Amino acid sequence: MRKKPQRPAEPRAEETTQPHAVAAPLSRRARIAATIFVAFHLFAVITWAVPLDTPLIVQCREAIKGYMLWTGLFQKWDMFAPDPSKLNNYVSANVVYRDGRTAEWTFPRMENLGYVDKYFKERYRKYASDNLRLDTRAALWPDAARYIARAVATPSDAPVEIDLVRHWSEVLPPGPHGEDSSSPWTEFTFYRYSVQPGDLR
Amino acid sequence: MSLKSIARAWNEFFLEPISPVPIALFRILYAGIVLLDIALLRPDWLIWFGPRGLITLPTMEQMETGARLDVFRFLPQTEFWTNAVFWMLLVSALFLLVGLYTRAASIATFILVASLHQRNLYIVHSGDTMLRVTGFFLMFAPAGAALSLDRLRNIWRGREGVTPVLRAPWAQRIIQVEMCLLYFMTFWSKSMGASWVNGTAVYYVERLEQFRRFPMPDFLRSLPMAKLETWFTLAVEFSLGTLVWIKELRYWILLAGLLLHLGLEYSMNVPMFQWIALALYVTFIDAADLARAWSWVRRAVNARPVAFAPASARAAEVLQAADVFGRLRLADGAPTVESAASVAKAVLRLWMPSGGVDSRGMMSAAAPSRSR
Repeated sequence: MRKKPQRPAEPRAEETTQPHAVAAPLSRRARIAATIFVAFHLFAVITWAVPLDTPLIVQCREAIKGYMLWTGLFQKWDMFAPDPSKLNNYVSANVVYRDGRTAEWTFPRMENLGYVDKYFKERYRKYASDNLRLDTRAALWPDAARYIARAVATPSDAPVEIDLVRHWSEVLPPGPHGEDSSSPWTEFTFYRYSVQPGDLR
Repeated sequence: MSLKSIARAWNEFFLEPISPVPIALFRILYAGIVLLDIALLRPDWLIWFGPRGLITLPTMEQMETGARLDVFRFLPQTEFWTNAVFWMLLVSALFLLVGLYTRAASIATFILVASLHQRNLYIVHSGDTMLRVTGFFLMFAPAGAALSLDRLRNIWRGREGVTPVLRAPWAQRIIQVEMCLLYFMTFWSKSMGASWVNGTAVYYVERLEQFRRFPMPDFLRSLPMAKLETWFTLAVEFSLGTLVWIKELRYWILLAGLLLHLGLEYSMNVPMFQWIALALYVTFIDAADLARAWSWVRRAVNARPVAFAPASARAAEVLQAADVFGRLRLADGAPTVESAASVAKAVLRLWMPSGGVDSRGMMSAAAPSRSR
């Protein structure tokens, strides 16, 4: 049923700071459920995130692993830790075409992009510099090579071979007066892929 | 200390009702960040998540084993469905932003955000992880209990009054704990690294060209400054992970965190990470302080008033609840607000930057800005 029309007093700015009038208390059952939920999740996220690998912690992690992976609650907080990387690096590809021509293809490099572009394209750094170049991520390489093959293929010529190359230069410790220096750039071809006709579709 | 006192402290901390305004504000910031995040990803959406992208779904499943909450695993592997996930996430995040069907929107947003991460974990940074994890707990929070269209709808239907109802904060508390974990575990990991202890860590980070954003003045890149910056980072991370719970220190620590993240946002190119971390800070701000700060903003902005004549108590209550800018004036002769449509129009009027009444407070709400 509608309430009777009435004109409330004009609100003032201070009224927003007034204490909230009513509380919505939880039922006993809800309090118990909330307590169990909170206790379990505090245990789970702390166990997962703590930077220790004692046998007990490893076993606890194993017990909750299925749940953490499924929900996406897995987490590791180690930004630039325990020590920041000292490597400037990027990944490129050497492309060999059917007619024998070669070309270099590079993932977007943040240091070569403008302020706006680098904000949009930063995921390429994460993907290539933090993951693709690592030997432990070798399973990523065929997909990357196939993607590059499609990206560089032209109607007149198709690539037949993709070489993935990592480049790096180490930031050296500061000199006696704090001066910068870094090692010369080094490169290494870490993966060679022969392009199949089906890859370009 | 007895078991009883521990139980009492636990109940007080997790279950004693508090204002839902901070968690509602976090909801708004969270949804805004999700929208910005997918806007940044949109130009390369198919490259990151598509069937012909840099990582195919079978490769992802091979590398990251186990059951995962990932809608991509159930959808056809086509570009159409990959794009559909973008549009679904856009709509759900918009609903979450305005607080319409908040619970359902928070569930949909979490599932889709988690799916994006599970689909391609190799482009995910720590800020994304925090977005995913806090999104999980946001589903359980009373995020639509304030600053939401749901609330206005409830008032219109007579289910709520003008003042928000206090709610049990357990989900907000876990989000706060997550923020502390982010900082404290990072501090802990860093404390095991020689470069963080000897003060050279920031020196190296500043020389990683792929992270550089805006130019830094030379004196800030010097070794002595790099040492100060390194130890400042450690001190702030330790404080945000632990001391932030102490009421007297809280705002000073949050201020130090704000300075740290703004400095990182300027100097380092890690999109959205700093804003995700800063959004968490609002869960630590007292609702009364938020209201005081907002009143100060309103006074500083001094928005033009808008006059209405609500024809019912519920219409008046909806307008009062929606009057976040303090523009509402109730006046005879002003446009009458009675039906749901006219209330909705009046609420939009309150939120629009232009329009209003003259100094006598009698001009029509529909009056254009020429009344200035």
